[in-house]
Amino acid sequence: MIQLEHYLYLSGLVFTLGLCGVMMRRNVILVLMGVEIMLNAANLALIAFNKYMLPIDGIVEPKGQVFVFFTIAVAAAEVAVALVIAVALFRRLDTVNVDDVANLRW
Amino acid sequence: MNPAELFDIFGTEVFLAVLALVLIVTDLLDGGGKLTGASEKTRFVTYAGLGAILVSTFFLEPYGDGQFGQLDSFAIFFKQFFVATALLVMWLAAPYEVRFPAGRGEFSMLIVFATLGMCMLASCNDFATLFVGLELVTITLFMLAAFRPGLPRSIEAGIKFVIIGAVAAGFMVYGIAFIYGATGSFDFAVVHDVIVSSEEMPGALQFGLLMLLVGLGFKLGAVPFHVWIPDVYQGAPTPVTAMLSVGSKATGVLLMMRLVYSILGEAAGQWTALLMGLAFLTLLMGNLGAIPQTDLKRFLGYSGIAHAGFLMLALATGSQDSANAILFYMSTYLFANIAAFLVIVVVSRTADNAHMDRINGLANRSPFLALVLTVSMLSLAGVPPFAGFFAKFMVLRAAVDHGGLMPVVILSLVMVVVGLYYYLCVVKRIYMREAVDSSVLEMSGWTRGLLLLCVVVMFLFGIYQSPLVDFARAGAASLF
Repeated sequence: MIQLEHYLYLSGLVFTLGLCGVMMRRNVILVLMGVEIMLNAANLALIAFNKYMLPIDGIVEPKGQVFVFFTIAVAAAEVAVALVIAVALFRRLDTVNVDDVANLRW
Repeated sequence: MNPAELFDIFGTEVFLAVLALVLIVTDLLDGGGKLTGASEKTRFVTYAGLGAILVSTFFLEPYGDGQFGQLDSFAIFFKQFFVATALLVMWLAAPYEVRFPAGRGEFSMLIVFATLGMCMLASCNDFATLFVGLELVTITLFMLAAFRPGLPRSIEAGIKFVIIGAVAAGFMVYGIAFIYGATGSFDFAVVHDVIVSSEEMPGALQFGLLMLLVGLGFKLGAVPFHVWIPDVYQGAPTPVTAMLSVGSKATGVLLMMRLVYSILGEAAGQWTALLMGLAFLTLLMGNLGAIPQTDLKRFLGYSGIAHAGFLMLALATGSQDSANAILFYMSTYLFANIAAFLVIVVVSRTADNAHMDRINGLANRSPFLALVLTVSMLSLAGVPPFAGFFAKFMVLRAAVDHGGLMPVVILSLVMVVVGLYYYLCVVKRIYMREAVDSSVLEMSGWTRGLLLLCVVVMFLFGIYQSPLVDFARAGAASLF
């Protein structure tokens, strides 16, 4: 039987994978994919919590599931802006590697 | 939520949204299809609109709790603060706007949208509102940081800001998910009830709140989430840096205050050690990092981290006095920073960078600008006749009363002295060095007016603080 914990373990694993992706990938597009994976891990946790929420007066309000819509919409806006900046980066500096973008330091 | 209730709580936000839409139309009609747009007319609409909205916020009446938001005196204080910040930033941007190759109309619009998000955060009592408001602020600021795509440093600031901001948002949503899992609600009041009613905070809730702290620490610029600040401050266009350093930091402060005073409430004592540790590291990092800087905007970034350390110290104290102190601190910080960034805009006009050499010998080139920058630096350093001194004094007095914070109080006193050193190094450049560039510094009357306003405010509230203290106290009153 699949319990809440199983979903949470999966969500934690996905979140960690996303974070590793952000930290280890050098390509801006793949870094952004890592961020998306982190946000989706949070979505999975929200839905799982909602599913196993104890009912009050016999009903469970789908608050967690509604929140997921907010997250999806915001993540879409965020990635749209991030991709625009990535395109501008490629046009100006001819690279999408984050290691090459290091003129500002100390 | 019915429309009337929506308007009672989010009236300012509705006005700001309308203003942003009006700006889009104005730019479209007046720009004649050119990308640069007509900055004169859109700028006029922005000033008039923001000015009218600022006046309207003084007529707001506390409304109490709604379904997605609340309007208490604390929210009203911050709405006034944010609209005033937006107005001052747009005023500051006027001499800078000519450097934008495109999108002058959109610049005003994005600033208004960021302000809308900030005002939304001031009234939030729900994690959904908090998340949407915070992302509205952050995403518009991503765009603004990369607003000069011709400059490699602006693009670099944008990409670094986007990646770190998105990761912070990921942490925050994950935290909110666990807070929801532990309490079954997104409402601050319900979360607060669960926290104070349980003997020991459930693990999931504690984990969720810590993840939320990552997201808020990112906005506030607290160590270890400060890494983006120096790079983004240096690379972003100067008016945007001003918006980041005042508006964006204030959203972090505001949300941390809601978190500590409203959500944790009586249980805030459990977090004292954690906040104290963060304050300690932030003070150390900000002050020591500022010493070797050679770029004025980067320098102000580190100085901002140091100020975040002071604000964290006040948050760790958690008393009513410290809440008053934070609001006072933010108000004085606003004017000192706006003055400093406006001087940077004027002196960097010919070379388009903010290297510290630009202010060498400023006293000979323009005694007025030299005076303004000196007053601003002394106020930031906390030297007595200026408002910044009293702000630091209030924070430290509240922290000393608390007793358990002695190590950080002592460190912060040492750091005030360190701060004095690096701020006075800037003043030394103004008065003691030879100018590298002796061209005439041109300023419009409006720019002079804003500089004069900032100096008068810093000086006036330094010697006669009680109106501002009363204003801050009235703002913080509803938290308790």
